[in-house]
Amino acid sequence: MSTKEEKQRIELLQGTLDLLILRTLLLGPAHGHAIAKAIEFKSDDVLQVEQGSLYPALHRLIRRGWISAEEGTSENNRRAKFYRLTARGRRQLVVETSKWDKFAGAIARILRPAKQEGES
Amino acid sequence: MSIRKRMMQDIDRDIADHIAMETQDNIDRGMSPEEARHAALRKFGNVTRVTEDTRSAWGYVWLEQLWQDLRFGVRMFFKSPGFTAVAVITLALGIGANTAIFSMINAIMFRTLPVKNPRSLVSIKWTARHLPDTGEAGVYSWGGCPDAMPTPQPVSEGCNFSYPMFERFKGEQVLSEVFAMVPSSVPVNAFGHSGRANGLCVSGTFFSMLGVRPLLGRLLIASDDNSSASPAAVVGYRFWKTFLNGDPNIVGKPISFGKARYTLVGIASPEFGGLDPGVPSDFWVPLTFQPGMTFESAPKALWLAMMARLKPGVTASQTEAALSAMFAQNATRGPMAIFKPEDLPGIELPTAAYGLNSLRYDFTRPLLTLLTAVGLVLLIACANIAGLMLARSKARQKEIAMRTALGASRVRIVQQLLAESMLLSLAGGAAGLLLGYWGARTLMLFLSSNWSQPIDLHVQPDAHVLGFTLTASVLVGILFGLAPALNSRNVDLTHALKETTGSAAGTPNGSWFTLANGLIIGQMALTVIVLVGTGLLVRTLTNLKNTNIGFDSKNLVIFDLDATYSSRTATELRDLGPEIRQRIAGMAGVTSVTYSFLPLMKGSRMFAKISSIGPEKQSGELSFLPIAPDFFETMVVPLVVGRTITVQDIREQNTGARRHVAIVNQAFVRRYFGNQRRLGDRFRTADNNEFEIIGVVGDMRHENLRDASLPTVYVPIFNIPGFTGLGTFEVRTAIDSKSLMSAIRAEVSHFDSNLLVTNMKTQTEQIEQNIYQERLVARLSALFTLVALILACVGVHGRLSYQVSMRTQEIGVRLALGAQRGNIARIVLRQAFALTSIGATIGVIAALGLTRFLQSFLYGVKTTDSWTIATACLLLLGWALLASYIPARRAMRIDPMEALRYE
Repeated sequence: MSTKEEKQRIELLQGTLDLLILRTLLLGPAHGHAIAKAIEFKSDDVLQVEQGSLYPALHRLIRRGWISAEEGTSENNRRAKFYRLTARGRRQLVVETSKWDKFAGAIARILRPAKQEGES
Repeated sequence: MSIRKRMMQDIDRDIADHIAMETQDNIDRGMSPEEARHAALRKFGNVTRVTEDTRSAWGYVWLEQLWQDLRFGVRMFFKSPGFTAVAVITLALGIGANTAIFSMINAIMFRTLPVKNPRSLVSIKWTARHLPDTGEAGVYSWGGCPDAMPTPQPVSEGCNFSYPMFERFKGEQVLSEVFAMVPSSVPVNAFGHSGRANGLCVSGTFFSMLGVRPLLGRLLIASDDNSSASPAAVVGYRFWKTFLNGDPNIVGKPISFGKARYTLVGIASPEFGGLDPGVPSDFWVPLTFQPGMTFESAPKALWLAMMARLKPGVTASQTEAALSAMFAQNATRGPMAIFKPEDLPGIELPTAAYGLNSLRYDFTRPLLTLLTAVGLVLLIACANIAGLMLARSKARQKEIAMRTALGASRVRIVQQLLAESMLLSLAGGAAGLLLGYWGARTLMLFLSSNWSQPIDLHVQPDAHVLGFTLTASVLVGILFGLAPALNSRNVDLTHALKETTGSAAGTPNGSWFTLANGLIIGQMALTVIVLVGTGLLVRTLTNLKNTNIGFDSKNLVIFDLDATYSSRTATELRDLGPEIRQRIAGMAGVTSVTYSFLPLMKGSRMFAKISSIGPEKQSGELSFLPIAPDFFETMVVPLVVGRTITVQDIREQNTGARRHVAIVNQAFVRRYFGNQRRLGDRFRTADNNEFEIIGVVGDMRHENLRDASLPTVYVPIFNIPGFTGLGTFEVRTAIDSKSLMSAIRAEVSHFDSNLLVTNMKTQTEQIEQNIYQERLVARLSALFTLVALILACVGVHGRLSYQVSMRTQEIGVRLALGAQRGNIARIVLRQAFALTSIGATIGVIAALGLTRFLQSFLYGVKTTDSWTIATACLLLLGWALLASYIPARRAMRIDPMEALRYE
């Protein structure tokens, strides 16, 4: 059923999305919309996140104590909720980043020989 | 405010903010505001789902959703109070009936004794390869084993020991404590009440070992065992309340149990009714004060039962091994030797945590039968409500489609439907619990009035009962909630949303074997099973009641007379029977009076061993009853030939005259004399008395309605030395026998106020009591069957009504195209007929398999009785067609114009 497929997709996304959020917040507190924009912008629009899926992720991170939320005003003077990286979140980012590097490295090692073969 | 709560509250606002910002961005990029908003929403995704997913990040969502679902469910149910009421009442009845029966079973089988640490209590049972040889002492075996089910194995076993053997057990180090007991049933005449009291003679540690506390005064202690102590008695709470009027000043006063006189030293606490759950003991007296008992002189007499407490840390099997060694040694050598060494005597220690459980043997079978019946009824109720829910869920298809379209997951929808059904079943369960308690009490009162002793079972709901009811409710809720829940998964969104309410959504255009039809068929099948079972039980009861018992049981008063408290001498006692007979015979309304050693139809009979009988000098065992003159006249039994017993016979017998006379029944003649009625023939009993046959009478059933008359010998009634019961008087009345009862009592008491009249009832009542199991099972099954029939009727009616309403359009078209109204009705009735027939066929097959278990209950009817099965099927078919009458009529009256405009 469709529910199952969706779940798998979200799960695949989750870890990555969490990492992206943490990375974005390393530069300073931001509100939800700004985080979404930042992710899209920085990845040259390659990562097209369904913006809504940001919110469950944000709340999960708050619950884990990696980010915190506070009231504030946005650039165009709108009231908004700002998310900020906590000390624990900062540590987590290091862990997650190294994990991601290992993962990406592994994927790359698997893919590279195939690519070489294809070229020759 | 907790962070969780705050975050949850802000979700909606945050999302709205987010979308507003995105919209603004889009406008800045040059989109029109409307376009901008749509683009923003598209980019955001499904708002509802995001909200739910975000909430779920905070846990507890499942609970919250459940709460939401329950609240929604309650609202839905208040919207359709009729449906809700029907469903809850149906469930309450179904679950209540199950709870009631289970409460009884629980009280009889699963409750431990209300004593200190019941789990370490054991009974002591001997086992051996052969029966014990007790020599002169004989076996006074009263059971005393817990759960006294007879075991058909070739091992002999028993729970009765001699007094010296009890002392050996008492000295055993492997047991922490042990006490001995023997039951005692005596007439009591005290404080304005008279009757029989049932108690125990116990050794001194009885109460201390069980940890029972006194309500007033003190309980028996070890020093009461000394024969030099003044005899002490303790009475039970119930006995104190009913017999002694609950008088607190009674403690310290003298009281007589039978011939023995005691000082009442205390009253046991109300919780402790004795060792036999449901059968409260009236009194406890020390073992050593049993009159006429000389223990030491009978080292082989097996008459005491024991209970022991295991030592902490020592297992039952370790203790068994140690005790077996001790027992084998003592029981094969020395004065207590009752076994040979090759008999391999040993000791077993069955748990006594549940007490002696004498009710279990009698009540387990009928209760389990009833539990099956109510279980089936509950299933029918389940199918019924599942059908109703299904119809409802069809009507709610649009709502469900709407929810799905708005982003509710399928799991969520199923969860909500299940929550609703659970809500219903729990409401039904709660009501059922109350109903069940009431039912169990009523059931207990019925059993109590038909049992040899008053029954006082604790049927209040305890953890077991609550667990049972809760489990039943939840299972039932899942069972009937599953159908609509599963059905909801197949909703075709676009289709369902487009449909106008209730037109084609339920059209049976697909397979005829839909879930809804399956439910009806299942319901019909279950109903047939219940109907056939009940039919067999009811026929059994009528067969029993119409059995020719050989005597006239109407207008007959019976009562037991006891002369324990009379100051008469043995010789005077001998004349008491005839005197009382004369007194009562002189009363207005009395036709004739007699008495016999035992009452008829009380489930008991006497046996005599005959050593030489008939032309072939056969030996055998036959039924035997000592009677007074006019016995056959009073019971209205035909005298075939010869004469009956006269006053002269009795006198001669009592004065030890040489001649013994006997009257025999026809079964006797058939068996031993090849149907030749020969008077003057003689036979010899095992104790070498010779009897001359002076008459032959018709056959009558003695013990119960079921068993045919055995070869029986009637002899002139005699007095057994030391036995103060005069037997049972039978009084034939010309008027309503009930109205004469108090007059007879008064007459006896006027004659001698020390004579005790007990067990006074009509012979008809006695017979009713004798068949209480059959009556109980037949009546309750009949009641449950009625419920099942009504449920099935409601089910068929509901299903067909629903179909007719769904097919209004189609019927309209048919009518418009010229179909006859009769044909339309026939469509509906054919549907009912088909469903019922299929269900009934399945039911009959299942019933043939299931009713085998009823076999032992039945009398005069076979489990495959075609008449019963046919009646059951026809009855069900009749009901079903009756139930489809209203929907059929509605279908006939559909106005084609109206129906077509419906679109």
